[in-house]
Amino acid sequence: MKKIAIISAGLVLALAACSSSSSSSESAATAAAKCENPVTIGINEPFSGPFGFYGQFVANSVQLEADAINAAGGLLGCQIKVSTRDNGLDPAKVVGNTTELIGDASVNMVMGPSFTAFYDAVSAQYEEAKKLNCQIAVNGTDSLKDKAYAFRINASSKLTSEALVKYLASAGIKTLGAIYQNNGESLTFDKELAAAGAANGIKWVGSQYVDPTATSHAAQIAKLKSADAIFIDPQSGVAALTADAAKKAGYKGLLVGNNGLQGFTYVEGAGDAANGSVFASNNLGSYTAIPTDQQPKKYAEHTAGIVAKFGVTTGPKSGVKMINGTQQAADCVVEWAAAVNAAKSFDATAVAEAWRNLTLSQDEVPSAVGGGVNFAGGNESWNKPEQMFIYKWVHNTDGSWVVEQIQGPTA
Amino acid sequence: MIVDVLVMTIFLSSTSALMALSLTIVYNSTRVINFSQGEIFILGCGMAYQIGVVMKLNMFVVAAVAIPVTALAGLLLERLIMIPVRRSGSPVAWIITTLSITLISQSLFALAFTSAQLRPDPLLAGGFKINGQELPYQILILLAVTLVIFFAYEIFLNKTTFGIGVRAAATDPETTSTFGVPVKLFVAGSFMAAGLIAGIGGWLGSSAAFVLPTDGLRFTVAGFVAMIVGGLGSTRGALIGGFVVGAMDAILRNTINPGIGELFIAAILVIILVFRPQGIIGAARTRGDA
Repeated sequence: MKKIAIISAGLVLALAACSSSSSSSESAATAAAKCENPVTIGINEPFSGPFGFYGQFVANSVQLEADAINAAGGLLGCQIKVSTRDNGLDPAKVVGNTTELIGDASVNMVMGPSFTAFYDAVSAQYEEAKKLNCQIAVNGTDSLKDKAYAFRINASSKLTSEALVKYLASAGIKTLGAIYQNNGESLTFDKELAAAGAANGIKWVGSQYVDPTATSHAAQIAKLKSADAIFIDPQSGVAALTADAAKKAGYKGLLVGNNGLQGFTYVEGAGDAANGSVFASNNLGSYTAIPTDQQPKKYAEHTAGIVAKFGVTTGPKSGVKMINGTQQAADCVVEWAAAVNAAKSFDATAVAEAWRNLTLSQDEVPSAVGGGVNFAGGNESWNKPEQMFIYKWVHNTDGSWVVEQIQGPTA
Repeated sequence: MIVDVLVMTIFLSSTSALMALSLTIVYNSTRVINFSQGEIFILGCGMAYQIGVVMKLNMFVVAAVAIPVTALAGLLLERLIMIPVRRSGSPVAWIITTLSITLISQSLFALAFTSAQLRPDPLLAGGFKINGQELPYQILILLAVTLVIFFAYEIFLNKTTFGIGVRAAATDPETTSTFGVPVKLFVAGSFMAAGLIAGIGGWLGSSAAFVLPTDGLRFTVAGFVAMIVGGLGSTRGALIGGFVVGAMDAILRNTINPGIGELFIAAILVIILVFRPQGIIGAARTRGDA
């Protein structure tokens, strides 16, 4: 019995095991003498585990912009510090980190937690504490609805679906289906893709749910083989498995998706099956063959800064290069700083009010939001499908991969 | 649909059985359940991916590098686990040690393998067509290698002097050592054999599915459940447990709901522990039974 108890305890610990550690990094610059209180940006993202790179990318971009502001004299004379918390994608740590950052009066603005389910779980805490927060990877369409202190820098799933479906309609697609995991997000996709299809003359033929750890998605592909296009999972590993099954089944239609397909992990997993996949996204100019001098000013500047200071990560199989930063995270710093300057205060309510009235040109924001940023009294950086970019993965004859921009913003 | 279920059944059954066997080999010689065993599964998979897919070298190079390295990784685990266990004397030292190694390995693999999905090339591409669907040759190779490994280990354990020594050392290490039998050497050999088996499972198994660098614990848990279901410490139990758990998991995932497999694994573990703690084929086993 004792043995079984020990084994069971081991199993419980094993199942609960998830690597984590809290870490903190600060700007090299010290707080300006005239500033009474430190000004801090808190980051609550994964810094360990399979998505550990993501938290580091966010921190890199935030640090780069904070350093630039500090070098220019600071924000209202205050130096900005960056403080990170690793949530390891563990729900308990997501909540714990949020509580900690909210309770720290020196933290003026929090970034994260990314991913809709995590953010939805803690968003009420931010509102109750009147803590400014900026989200860069929360897709849920209603996640920021009626939130006074939250601002979103990425496009909602509804906006992304609309942008993608509009493009598909213009490309002559008549029928659309979907293959993804069965979760809350997929139920939302079902509704939003069907609605966008109806509005654009595309027939929605339904979705097939898959097991992310399955050996093949052939059965799901077989059921949607007649669809002109299939929307695939936002998680790149699952999407890669679907693409692999589609290629093996000789699927002739188009594989499409959202910004989950933008990373090299999709191409690494799917291999040649990723060729021709189309997705709606924010600006990915640095992945394309578009010359740097033809890209929006701040986008090019931030990208170059990240490459110089933090480098790039190269897909070992595909050779696709990904900068070790994320422009959208930098947007949070630039927009928050602009709102603080406009409010001439760090008071959260005053800054939130200024942020809701913020307008910046495409050349002023690191992510180069199509048509520029205009919150127009709301809290969404992206509010029209015409602001989005449509891309396609292309496998060149020399074996290299490139993202081809097939439609720019029309806003 | 039938082919999908068949492929997944073979994949889950074979990988669970191989993991159960590697856990059993270590357990029989040490009474330690090595929760970090799945990390060698990932090591085998990751090395096959790096050497075969990224460096584009052939499968003989993969085998020449991956097989000895996974065996050596098993030896390294023996040092990392058994030294603290022997020195501390704590009955829970092995839990802390093996889980710590798991966490460290997960972080290292996430850094080392920047590709989120590891999928080495199959030994033999293509497959049989059944009703228009493909039954990959690779999945049949995985099944065949799994059965060969079990058969070979049974022969080794029961027919060779070394195998008999391993069983004696497992039954009563103190008495066995008084006859001059190098018990610690046998323990080290057990870890190496377990590492080799887990590594081969990772290499051949992951060619049939996408595996994340941090998935090691998932395979350990699957092997652990198979080991308990089949009968703790039994080699044949590991094989039967692996195939029972794998087949049920695959059928439920494909016929009811993709998310139900893991729920089933947890449920079957609880049921077995409550109603038949000796496992499917086990009687009340004694130390050293194989």
